[in-house]
Amino acid sequence: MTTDHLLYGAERSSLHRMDERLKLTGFALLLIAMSLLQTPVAALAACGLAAGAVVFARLPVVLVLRRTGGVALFLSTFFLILPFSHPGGSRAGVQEALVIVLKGIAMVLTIFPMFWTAPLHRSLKALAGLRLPQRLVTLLLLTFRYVQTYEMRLAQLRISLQARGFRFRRNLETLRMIGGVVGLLLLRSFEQTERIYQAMLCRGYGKKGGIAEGFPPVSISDGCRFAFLFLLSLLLVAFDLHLRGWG
Amino acid sequence: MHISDGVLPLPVLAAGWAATVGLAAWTLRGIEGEDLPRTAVMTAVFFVASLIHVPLGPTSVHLILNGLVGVILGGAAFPAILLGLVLQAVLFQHGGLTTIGVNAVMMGLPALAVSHLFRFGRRSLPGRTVLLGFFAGASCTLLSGCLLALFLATAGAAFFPAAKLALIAHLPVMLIEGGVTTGTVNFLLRVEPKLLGELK
Repeated sequence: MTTDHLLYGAERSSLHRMDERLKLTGFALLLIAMSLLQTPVAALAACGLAAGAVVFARLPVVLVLRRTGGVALFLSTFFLILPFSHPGGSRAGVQEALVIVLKGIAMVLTIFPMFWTAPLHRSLKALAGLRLPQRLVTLLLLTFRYVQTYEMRLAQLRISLQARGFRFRRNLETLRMIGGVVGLLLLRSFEQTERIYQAMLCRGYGKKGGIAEGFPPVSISDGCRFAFLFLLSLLLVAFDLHLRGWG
Repeated sequence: MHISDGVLPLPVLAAGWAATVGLAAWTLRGIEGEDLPRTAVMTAVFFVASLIHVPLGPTSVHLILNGLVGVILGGAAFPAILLGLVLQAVLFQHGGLTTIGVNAVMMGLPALAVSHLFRFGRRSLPGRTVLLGFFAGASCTLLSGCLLALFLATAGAAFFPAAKLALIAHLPVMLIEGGVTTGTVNFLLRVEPKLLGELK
């Protein structure tokens, strides 16, 4: 599950070729624009834009739909609440729930072209290129690297528990056992950190130069792609304001 | 437990980001040298552990473990939770990107509070560490539930019932989190007690 993104980071579209710093900034602006929307039609347009970006990036539509469907289902619970609680009546409640669901879908869809069109470690390094604290980005990179390791260890522990006859049940014993498994993983990680730190020092951690290095100067075509994303964000907000009768 | 993208208004999201930037800057100062890989590796463990689903009634819930993160990592709990949220949003699309600030405050602030209470409790009530573990896990979930309800309520009067429902839904999760945290604290107390107060 944590490795799904690895399959799609290799070059498949012009979004894959875009400078990660500009790509993250451009899509972040689009996300902010989407969060400002207040009309169902503008939110629907945002969904269309985001879906278009997913198709353009040649990402796996079935996987994207499955992930987005889960979020949409969760957000749909607002249809059961807002029509009865909205001060403007049930019609206003349904409209607000619709805007929330459509905006939620659009924003989840946007994450895919934003982060799944480059190897994740490169996108994370681009955050350092955007002046995020190096310490935070180093933590993020290290965490991302060890998530794979401990996911595998958890799977091994699960198999060994099952082999000994343990089954997940609705009782205290299950909670105690899960607590023990988490404790065991923490213990193993604690024992490993000394060696990890030594390995980091051997590879030059803490010396001059940083993890943000390795990004070439921004090209004109990347600048154009960023300008396009910026323009789309502005148009989306302007469209929403127009629908709300602001001009 | 997460607030998804698209629910909260922009001013609330911006306030969440501002608080998160401040808290992250403050807590990151204490992470130096060997603490860096330790925090990262343990964050990875917490991230993976949160993928465990525990049966609850006819359904199942995934673990949050922010109370346990506070107990083990102390001040480093906030950046750990922040990193976990970023990875969840990017890898699984859980929680969303614009809401990372709000979600980090919702889960990280109670973890910081609980980490101090746990340490204070251990000094004041020696021999009650396991009980304090339950308190840490359960109270952290309750505090996060209260903050979730508060954030939802900022979206307008129409969201008050949703806020109440979200808070009620946290009550059984509270017991599960308390139970699992108790199990972990009990295990570590016997095997490696250094871990329950080693980190800053």
